[in-house]
Amino acid sequence: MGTYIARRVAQALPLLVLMTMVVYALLRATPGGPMSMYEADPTVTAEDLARLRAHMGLDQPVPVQYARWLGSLATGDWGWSLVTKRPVLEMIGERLPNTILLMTVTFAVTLAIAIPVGTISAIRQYSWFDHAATSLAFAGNSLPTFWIGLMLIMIFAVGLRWLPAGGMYTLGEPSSLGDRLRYLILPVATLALFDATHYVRYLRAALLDVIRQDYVRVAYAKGLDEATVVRRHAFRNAAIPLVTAIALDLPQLFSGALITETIFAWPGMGRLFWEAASRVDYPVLMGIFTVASSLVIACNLLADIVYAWLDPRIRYR
Amino acid sequence: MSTAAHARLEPVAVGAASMATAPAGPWTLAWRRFRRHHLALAGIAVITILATASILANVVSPYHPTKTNLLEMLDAPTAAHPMGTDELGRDLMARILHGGRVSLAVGVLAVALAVTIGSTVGAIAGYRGGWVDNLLMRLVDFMIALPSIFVLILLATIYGTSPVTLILVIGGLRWMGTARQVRGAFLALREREFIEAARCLGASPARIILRHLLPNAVGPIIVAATLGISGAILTESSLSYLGLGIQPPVASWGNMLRNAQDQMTRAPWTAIFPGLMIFLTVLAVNYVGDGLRDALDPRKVGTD
Repeated sequence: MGTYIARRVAQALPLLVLMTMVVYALLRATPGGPMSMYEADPTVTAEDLARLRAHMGLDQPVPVQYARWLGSLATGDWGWSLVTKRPVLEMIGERLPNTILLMTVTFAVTLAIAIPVGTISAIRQYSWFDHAATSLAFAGNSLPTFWIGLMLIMIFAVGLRWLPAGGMYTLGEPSSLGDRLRYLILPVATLALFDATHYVRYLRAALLDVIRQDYVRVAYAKGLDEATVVRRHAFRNAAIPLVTAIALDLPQLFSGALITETIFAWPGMGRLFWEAASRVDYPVLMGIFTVASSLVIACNLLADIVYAWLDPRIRYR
Repeated sequence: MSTAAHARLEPVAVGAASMATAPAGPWTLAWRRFRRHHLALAGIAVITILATASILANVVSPYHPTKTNLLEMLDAPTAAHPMGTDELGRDLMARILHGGRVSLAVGVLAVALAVTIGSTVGAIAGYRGGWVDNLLMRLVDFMIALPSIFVLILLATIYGTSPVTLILVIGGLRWMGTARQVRGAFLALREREFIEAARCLGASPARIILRHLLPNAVGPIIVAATLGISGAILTESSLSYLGLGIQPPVASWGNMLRNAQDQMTRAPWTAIFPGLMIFLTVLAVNYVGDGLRDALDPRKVGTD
């Protein structure tokens, strides 16, 4: 198992480098770029431009620039924002915890909804509950997340005035847990409602597969009650594909957060990325993309390892 | 001796002929299964109505989608404006129908592109095998590992936001599932006797792929394509909502929602109707995809 993990990690790093390389090349194909604001300035002469270009390393071939960027990335220098003139790592550092907070709470709420609903739906297949749950899950899967967000704002923030429409905490008020929670409810609900529909369908299918197996029938035949059979025998085996699906989906959670952060003015990484994209701020875009890609690769790796660890039938080739 | 050899060959020839003349061919059987899925039939009806109304937008709605009318700003739905008007007095229904053209066209064409790329890559990988397969599948792994929404936003920022670039960008990022599916089907099929027979008869690789392998893999492709359309429509509307998709004044359901944000407190209908249209379309397409999966998925045939 140790060598299996080591080999998967060794495969992951080149993949990450390749991804940043492709995006770097794409970004450098963009018209405009860091020099455009100087080029538009009539007081900046051609010599000044050349000097600036040399100073910023832009006179070097793109592959050389990429190698430099990668080298300084490894030493912790992620570059400076072209717009705010602040270190990229610092800007990401400010926003990342907010995104992680949003993602973790969303994730917990999603599972808290999906696990009981999916389980009951499977063990009471074709009951009214199952029909309601599967229909809702199917419909929920077809809803655009940003529209759910807008509708929730319209109902709960504007209409009923129960909750704030956006932001992370009330300005000028002492920070309290209750205040923070109030700001979390709508974005989390937007994301969790959508994500839960996905896992309900998944868990239901996985459990239905398992429930028909012989060992479940044996467990019933031994005289175990349904709760024990489901908890001890069925759920544990159904959890294997579910855990893999969750690990593979974690980056998706991150992507979903991007749109949701924009709707609710949540100061996270997704919103930072969107802001940087609209101002073509390369260093920030590259920095966030590197974090996002690392996350995707790490999650894929995690999925493989967890799968191999949970299911003894998988061989570590 | 010669009659025995003849008899052994015959089933091949008769088999091919009976496919066409048999009372219940695979497509008839699929249709019979599909017909039982009432929600899928309803889905087809909804899509047909939506598509027809969008194409005939000028006939269905008397208003021009970008014509402003300052006397009728933010009017609630009435008989004259069934879905109300927006902040410039533009008729919302006209905008939704014209936006439907854009959303549906981008969705369908992006998927057409994705299916074309995916089938080609999958077919080559599955048929050739070996290092070609290895190389192409590593490419697929790489594309899948890319955080797609970030790449979409980057590409939309770099290459602009015309409908054509949106189709290219969305289609170019959504073909991997089809590629894997086609490759899998090809790997399973290419060792079968009828392929061997075709090869013995001297059929070229192109003929074997197009005439013998692809028709047998078409079921999963159709299912993936259908479900892909709903995904592509959602992606386009998300991008347009973020301001990186279709640009105003051209209406798309996504950019209408972006626009609605500023006045949805005073005029909720500007936010409700475009979202409802996305939901309805995606739901209908998903039900059709679900019905098609039940009808076409070869794994289900045995259990039916």
